[in-house]
Amino acid sequence: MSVTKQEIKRLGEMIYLDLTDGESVRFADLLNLVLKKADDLLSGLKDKPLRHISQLRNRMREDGVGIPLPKEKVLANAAETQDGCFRVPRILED
Amino acid sequence: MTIAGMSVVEILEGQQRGEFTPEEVLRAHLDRIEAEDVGAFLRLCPKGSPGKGLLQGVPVALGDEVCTEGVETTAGSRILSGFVPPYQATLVGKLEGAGAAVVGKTNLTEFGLSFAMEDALFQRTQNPWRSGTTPGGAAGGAAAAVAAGQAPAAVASDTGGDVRIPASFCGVVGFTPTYGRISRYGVIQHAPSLTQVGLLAQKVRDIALLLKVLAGEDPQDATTLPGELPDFLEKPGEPGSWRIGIAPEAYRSCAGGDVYQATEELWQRAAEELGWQLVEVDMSWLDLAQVARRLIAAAESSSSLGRYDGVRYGYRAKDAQDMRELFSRTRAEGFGEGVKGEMLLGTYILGDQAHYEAYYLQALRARNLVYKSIKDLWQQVDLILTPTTPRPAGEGETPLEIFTGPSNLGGLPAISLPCRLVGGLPVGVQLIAPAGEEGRLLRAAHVLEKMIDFASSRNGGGQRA
Repeated sequence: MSVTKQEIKRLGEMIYLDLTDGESVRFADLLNLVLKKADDLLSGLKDKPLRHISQLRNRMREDGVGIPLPKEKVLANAAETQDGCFRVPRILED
Repeated sequence: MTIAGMSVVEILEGQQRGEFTPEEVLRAHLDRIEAEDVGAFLRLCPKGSPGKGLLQGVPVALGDEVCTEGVETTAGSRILSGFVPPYQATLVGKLEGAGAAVVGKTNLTEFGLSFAMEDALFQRTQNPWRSGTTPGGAAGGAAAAVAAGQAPAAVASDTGGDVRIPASFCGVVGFTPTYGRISRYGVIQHAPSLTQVGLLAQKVRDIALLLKVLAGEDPQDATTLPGELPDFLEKPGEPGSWRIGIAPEAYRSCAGGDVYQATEELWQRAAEELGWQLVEVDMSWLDLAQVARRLIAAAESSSSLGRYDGVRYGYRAKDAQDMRELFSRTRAEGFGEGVKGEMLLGTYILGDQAHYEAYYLQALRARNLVYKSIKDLWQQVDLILTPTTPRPAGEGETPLEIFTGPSNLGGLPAISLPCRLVGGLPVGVQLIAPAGEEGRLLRAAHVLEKMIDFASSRNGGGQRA
């Protein structure tokens, strides 16, 4: 299968990533290159999928009250804050 | 010998003999950074007098993906410009607790996604062996710093060879441990099932010391290995009659002629001088492993990197009218081309059932095939020996991670040692061990390092620029 410029634009919209026309063309070429090689080498494999090599099981910590990072330290990295919160563009209509 | 350029062990021994103080060691390295600008560091952050411990007074460079509380940390991306972590990576606390002095943060490709250091966004890092030549990536700044004597050791993440590839290009030792051996808490990463924390230094014994300090379970990282730690330094110089797996046919088809010849001559010498038993093995899956690792990394990256949106930290697009515009423009302006391509590839193979089955699931099947193939090899051999990279620093067709990626797919410890000069530039040789066998790996590497005697061959065959 071949990835088109339009397909790349659609993917960009899915992940909230603005793309120029030039980028869409370049990324379509990139994906086609990688996927062609994948088609050649991976098709037909029947092994069981291995998602992770770690044999570890989930380790749970005690459900207790911890000490969070100080609010001022966390907010200090935000570009915009207001009243002790992260400030974002309006979400709800009037 | 001047202090800057000494190995970790030489610095510790010099301090013990009273030849210099930790403060003089730090000053010497800062002076070297100022005198020889190879673009290794994005920023310096030396503190006051270091504490006491196993690494007392040893300057250590950190890849800029390692969170340092109060010191800007960007992972090489514009989208994290100005990000000052409110917490410290576990490994930084361990280093400082052992008396090491964090000297600065080193350059890398954006989020460590590319092995080509030319893709780094903030500045050009030079290979100290030849100006204008790439040091390799992703941890090119860390390797260049160690090679230039600007820090005797460095710590950076390794997702497919990011530490071993630049170590090979820059003529230093690069090591990645068993998956989970070193905590990744506070290390910004893009492909969590592949990433291990790697180490760079001048000598194998330096690596063993650093590993002793950094290894261990961390309640903040559920993937760290529980249980007692093996003694990595036990009998470090004992020669062993190791059974060494080599795959001449696969290496010949992937590596350049000079690199193949250097590796072949090395294993022949090891057989003659060290008594190592050579066992030819099948590694015809190298190409398969490369593609599988590439797709798995892209899939995981498309998820991991989705957290950057301009709201809580890092770069934020100006004057966005709504949330969609804020996210879309922040990512468009904040991410470089490599990251965008990786996110799109990952989304393509995860975002549709047919693509998921054709690519992501097949990549996981390939991962299992490679994992089982290597596991079977351990019935025949104790270690695997490969070239580290298919070529010295420079252009080429074969993916740079062809020999290093498989150990990340399998979570295996591996080490790259400087082997010899090819066309005046270093190339490395890689040893891979079974999971949990860092002791075996480091003992064998130490013996091999002594046999190679790279410093002497370097003086005979060419000098670092």
